[in-house]
Amino acid sequence: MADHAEVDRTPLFVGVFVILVALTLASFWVANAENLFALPQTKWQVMIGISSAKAALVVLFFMHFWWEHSWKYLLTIPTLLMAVVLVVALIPDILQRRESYSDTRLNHSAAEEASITSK
Amino acid sequence: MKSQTNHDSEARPLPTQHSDHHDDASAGHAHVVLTYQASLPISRGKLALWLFLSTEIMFFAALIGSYIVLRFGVPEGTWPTPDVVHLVESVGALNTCVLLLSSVTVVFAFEAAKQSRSQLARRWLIVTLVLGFGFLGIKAWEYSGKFSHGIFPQRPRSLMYERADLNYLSAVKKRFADLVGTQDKAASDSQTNQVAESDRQSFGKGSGPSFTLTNWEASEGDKASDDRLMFLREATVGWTERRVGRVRNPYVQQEILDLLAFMIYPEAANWSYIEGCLKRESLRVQEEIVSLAAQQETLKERLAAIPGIDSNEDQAAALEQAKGKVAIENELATVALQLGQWNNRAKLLEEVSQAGKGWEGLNDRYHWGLPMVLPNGNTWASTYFLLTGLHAIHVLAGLIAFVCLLPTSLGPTVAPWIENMALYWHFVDIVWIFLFPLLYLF
Repeated sequence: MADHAEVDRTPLFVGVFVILVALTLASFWVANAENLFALPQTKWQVMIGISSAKAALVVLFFMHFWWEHSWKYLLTIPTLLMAVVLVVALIPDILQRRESYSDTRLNHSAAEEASITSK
Repeated sequence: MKSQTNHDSEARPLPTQHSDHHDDASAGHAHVVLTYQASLPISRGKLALWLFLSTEIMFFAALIGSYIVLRFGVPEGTWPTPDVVHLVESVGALNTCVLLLSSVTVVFAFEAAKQSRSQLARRWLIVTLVLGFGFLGIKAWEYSGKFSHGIFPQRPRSLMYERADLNYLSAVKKRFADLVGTQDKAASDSQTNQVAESDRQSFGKGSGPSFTLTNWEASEGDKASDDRLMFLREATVGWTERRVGRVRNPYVQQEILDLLAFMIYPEAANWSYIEGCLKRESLRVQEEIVSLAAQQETLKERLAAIPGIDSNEDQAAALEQAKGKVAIENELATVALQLGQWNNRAKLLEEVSQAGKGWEGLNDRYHWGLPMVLPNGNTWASTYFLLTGLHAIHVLAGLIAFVCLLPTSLGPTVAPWIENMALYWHFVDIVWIFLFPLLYLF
């Protein structure tokens, strides 16, 4: 539990909430804005960046991490490291997915956008 | 944590021979030796909760990681966009805000409980509950929208097919057969027979069925809906089945199958490709109609050229003449039947071409629940329902915990409980913060 219970943190929490809503709208805008980024990948990275910022705000203020002692690092850093490593470790599977495609798998995968034009 | 006031002390008096008589170690006697087991400076409940959250982080990291592999592992441009699967982005954003607001209210409930303001704490907890149930309500509404469009996590309820192929064609054929069967039961037998009979007669006359696209749009009632179903069944799946069986060019076969999928559910189609398909198909149909009409004329001329049977001629010759006449009449009937089918197809193609990009599809117009082509739709549905479903279960668990807290005093003694439940609630919020862009915006 955080200390300084006598301090009124209501304005702080309301402010954090307003920022969180603004960030939600920002990622909504980034997703729908035309020609904002040349690559969809950039757009995705920005949106994940915004989500990470939102998560950080929730953890820091709503979950009181800002006021907690250093035990917080012990419990969260190893977990986060494993979680992030897990997701990152899966990325090569996406990047190299075509290298080991069998004919069967390729034939039964969803089709790419049709571009055949013939009578 | 700067103060050590509220955490459970790990101090335990070691049994000594005097411990029964001298409990107070500070009384000047050093008989009772207090030893402290090193621990984190937080309550054991909070520690347990944080360890639980650590496992939850791993759990959702694995889920989201798997989703990323499935989502980005597909060929580019084949993952269903939100509008294709009837996912409304703004509703997702609204739900995000509802959950964020509930995070603030639960923090307020905790702060109020710490300050012994139980009534205020209760009020904030109720607001949190309302917001949490609101989130689940919006989620349920979103789910029902998917279900009404035949988007389910798996068959047999899921109507989604990866591509327009023969497997898909047979599924559409089966569904139409079921629909006709249902209508047969609903309508009286005689009426249905009349429809079938009038079909046969009108095909025989070569004028096509008596109903047209304009009148089945406007008319109401069982008969009209039967007519509409029979017409569209014939002009879509019946026609496609025959054509795919006869056409040799695989590209044309694929175009015809893709058009069938477009007519039923156009959302996932690539319009520029379909536009070309429609143009080429209309051209093919017009050519065939012209050729069939010419054939019909030739046959009619040949029939007219056969002289009446002369009773003076020998019987064998008369018989041959009559046989020839019957053969031409049969051929004429076949051509007329085909002409009727091609004309029906032409009518449907004209209707679809006129609607163009705005063609809503048979499924949205009549709610027939026909199988639809949605590349990766099944993978999308599996991941969407799994991720959002597991998240919703977490939300529900949090709400149950809040309901259990509600009848308590909600004072400083309960505050640690509220804090722990609130930590869990914030974690659920954080999961949604990541799910929202991944599922709705990517």
